[in-house]
Amino acid sequence: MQRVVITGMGCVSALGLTATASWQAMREGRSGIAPLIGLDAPDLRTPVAAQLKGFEPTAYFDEKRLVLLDPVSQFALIAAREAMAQSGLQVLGEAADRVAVIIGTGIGGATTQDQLARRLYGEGNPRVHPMAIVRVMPNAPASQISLEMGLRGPVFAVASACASANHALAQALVLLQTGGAEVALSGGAEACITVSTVKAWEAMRVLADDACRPFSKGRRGLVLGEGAAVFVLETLAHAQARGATILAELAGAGMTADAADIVMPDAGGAARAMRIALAQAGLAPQEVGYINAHGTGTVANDRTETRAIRAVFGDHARALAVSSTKSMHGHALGAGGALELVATIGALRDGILPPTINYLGADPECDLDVVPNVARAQRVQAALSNSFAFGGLNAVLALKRWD
Amino acid sequence: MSSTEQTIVEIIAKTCSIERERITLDTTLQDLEVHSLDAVQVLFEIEDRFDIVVPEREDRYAAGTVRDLIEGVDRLLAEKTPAT
Repeated sequence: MQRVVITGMGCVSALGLTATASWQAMREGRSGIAPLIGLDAPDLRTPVAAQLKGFEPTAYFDEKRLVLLDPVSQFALIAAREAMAQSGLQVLGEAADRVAVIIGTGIGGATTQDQLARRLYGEGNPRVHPMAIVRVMPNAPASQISLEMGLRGPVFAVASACASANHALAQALVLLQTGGAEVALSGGAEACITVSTVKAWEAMRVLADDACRPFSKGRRGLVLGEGAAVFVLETLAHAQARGATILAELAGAGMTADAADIVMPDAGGAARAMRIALAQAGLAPQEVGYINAHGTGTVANDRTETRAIRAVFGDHARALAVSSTKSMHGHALGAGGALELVATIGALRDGILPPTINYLGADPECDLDVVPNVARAQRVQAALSNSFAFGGLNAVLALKRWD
Repeated sequence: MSSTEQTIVEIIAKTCSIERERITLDTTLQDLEVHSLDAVQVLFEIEDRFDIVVPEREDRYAAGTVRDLIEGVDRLLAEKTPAT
């Protein structure tokens, strides 16, 4: 089996419009969560969200191209451009046939869907934009990257709600390990802050009304986010042959289902996913120094994730650092795992563990070292990044520092 | 039985597939082993039927007894109709 490394990353999030800016904000423990703006709905109850700031689509795309792009595809393309630029990869001729694009999204073109419904049912206007279909489809982010960059290998979307990005990256890993491609652009994208999506989350009564405080006492739920992160993955042989700078090794992935409940998380399913990721990466639990937690800030997730981590790591769970960067970039659903991989790679490369901000104090049911409020300088050799989804789906990535 | 009580008991019975006889004023949704997802659906049905907004994170609604829930809804209904 081929080893797989990461040679480029790009990101747009509430923390910044590049991976560099997003990671810098996480190192500093800055929050991207702010009053929710821009939605035309007077009866929204949700006061806060992690929305992009200062984002101007025409700075990235011309008007003609924008007609084809829901925000979810815009975010994915901007992240893909940054990742490709960092990797220094030039894809020429038939080499493009060996490049895959696998992008996770929980929803797809939510903004377009929302506008369509408003026009039809709200305004009674029967004319729908002819490009609505190509903007809405969940594979649009992957396809738009393929089109722009001329990449002709396996290209598809992965949808598993809040685990979509990690499932996409796991799929890219398998493809590269087994010779299905030499390079893959993979990650996740979500542009879910629309009236109908926010209202639907409100109805579930899981949104926090103040801040996202994962693992903290007094936590009140999750805060929705948006954005995208895309990574250039290569087989180690391919990266070394071209003298690429390697950011980290993607060493394993564990994927499981709880088969228990459509929303309530299950420690058993989460623990199995972590164990599989460790085994595939050839890592003993003691070698892991950091976990970027799923850590949504809901009562149920954080205590169940704590139980799962303790089950997998035993006594080492006390020595481990576990933080949730969702406290800063919000919960970007299908992009979540991708934004968190920016954090995990940053932690491995810089030896800085990003904090869990807004932490008010210990919850006895979440007795982990959650790197409260302030980042910590600490070198780690290996890390996990957890994503767990509604539907009972778990996808965990295992990464190793590249020296 | 008030009409609020009748409607709420009916909603709980239907949404959670529980026999009406088991739903007394002193039971809580926990006593009835109602899943949190079903509890959220009960609140949605109540909001929709009475055209009210049930506030979040107030124990008297989803975490209290059926009596607390009915009293809470009656209070919200009274606030909705301004006294003349």
